[in-house]
Amino acid sequence: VALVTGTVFALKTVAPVLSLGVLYIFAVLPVAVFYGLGYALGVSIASMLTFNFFFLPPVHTLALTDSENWVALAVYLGTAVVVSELAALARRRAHAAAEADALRRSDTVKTALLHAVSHDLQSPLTAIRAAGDGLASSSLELDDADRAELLETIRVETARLERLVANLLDLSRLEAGAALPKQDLWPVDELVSRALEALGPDAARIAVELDDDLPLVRVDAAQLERVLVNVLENALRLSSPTDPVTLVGTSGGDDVSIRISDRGPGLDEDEVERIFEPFEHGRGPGHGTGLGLAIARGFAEANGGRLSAEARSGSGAAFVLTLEPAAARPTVFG
Amino acid sequence: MSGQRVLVVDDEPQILRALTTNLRGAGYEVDTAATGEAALAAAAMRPPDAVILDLVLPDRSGTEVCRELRTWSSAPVLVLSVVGDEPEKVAALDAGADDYVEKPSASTSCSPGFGLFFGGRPTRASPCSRSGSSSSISTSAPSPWVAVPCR
Repeated sequence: VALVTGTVFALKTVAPVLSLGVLYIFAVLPVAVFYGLGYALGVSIASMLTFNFFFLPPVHTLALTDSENWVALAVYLGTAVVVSELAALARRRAHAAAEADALRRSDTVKTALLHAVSHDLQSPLTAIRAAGDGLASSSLELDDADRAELLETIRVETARLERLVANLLDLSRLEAGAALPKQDLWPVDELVSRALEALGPDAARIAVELDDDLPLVRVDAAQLERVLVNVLENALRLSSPTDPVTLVGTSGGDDVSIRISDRGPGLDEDEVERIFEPFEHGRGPGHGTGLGLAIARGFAEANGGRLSAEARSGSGAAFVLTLEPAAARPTVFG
Repeated sequence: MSGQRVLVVDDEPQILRALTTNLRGAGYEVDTAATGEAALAAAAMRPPDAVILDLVLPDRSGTEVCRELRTWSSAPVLVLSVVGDEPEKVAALDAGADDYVEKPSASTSCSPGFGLFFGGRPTRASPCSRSGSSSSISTSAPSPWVAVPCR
């Protein structure tokens, strides 16, 4: 209001004072936009009184002698109110639009979840159903080896479904902040063994090299197993069955690092972070849940570690899990 | 035993394994492929009497494979698709596929291709039944579904 008053003083020699009153709108407008109608009305009245006091005869009083001045002031005030209301309305609309946008985004995430889950459920279910129907059919001529094959399919795919369900639960716990690690001292080779065991027959494709002098790490073993299993599963799925997946454990500096490399399609620069987002599917064969790496990173970080990917397009991907060595090195595990 | 050759194309190893075992148990010879390229190569090497084709393959879509196959083969193609992927199904049928079966109920679908997965003598003219029981599908037709040329 003071700024506008100064401007009116400066301009009153070149323009009729009455028409300069409209400049007070520039005091009202930003207040209306940023602080709402209540403050804008206050500024409108302050503007009217200031204009009246300094510029309308008799000056330096709040009295008015000319009825035209009254009408002009009423018009200014009305204009200020209408502009305030319009600005406030625009703000409300922008707010509503932002809320609608957030809802739409949330719907997109839910749709992506449903699509990913339904797709990832259907593959194992198809295999289980086909195998079960085959075993139940009286019209097929199956020998013992065939039956064993079908039973193995059911076993493998049931385990896969269990992992999918576990991943979904893990993700919901991580997102709810409820995945508190139960940390204990563990040797790295023990953690790697647990992960290989959980992977089942596919573990035979993994070449493991661990330094002899790896320090113990303080982690939640179940969560670390999930980190390793998810990264290894990803590597196995993206590699040809004849290509090895390697797991190399080293200690250097202040860290223990476990590096998992494959010879799959690799990652581009723009994928090395994106690949850890939930429902993000990388390139290559097979259909992951798009959850595994998101969960792996979540659990790695919950245990004070880091999980990162390296861009090596064309020559496979490498994932590096970095853990802090436990300060003490007791010999409880022999 | 029909002795006819079926090419099964799916990148899910366990689906491939279960379908292969069932089809062999039903008397078919089975070739398998896990990619579109491998499927086309296998079909060229040993022309199949029928093809079971997953729509989602790592290197190219099942629809593309079907379209290319159709340029030189008239073997019936049964597409495996997931529930809800209607546009893909339509595209596959447009590309020359003869029918589709929805996962996960591939082996109990009402599709005319139903019996192929484990019935000994599936027929293209199979009556559709919602009972879900294999015995409700005619298996006595003289001509197996897989032997019916599509065009």
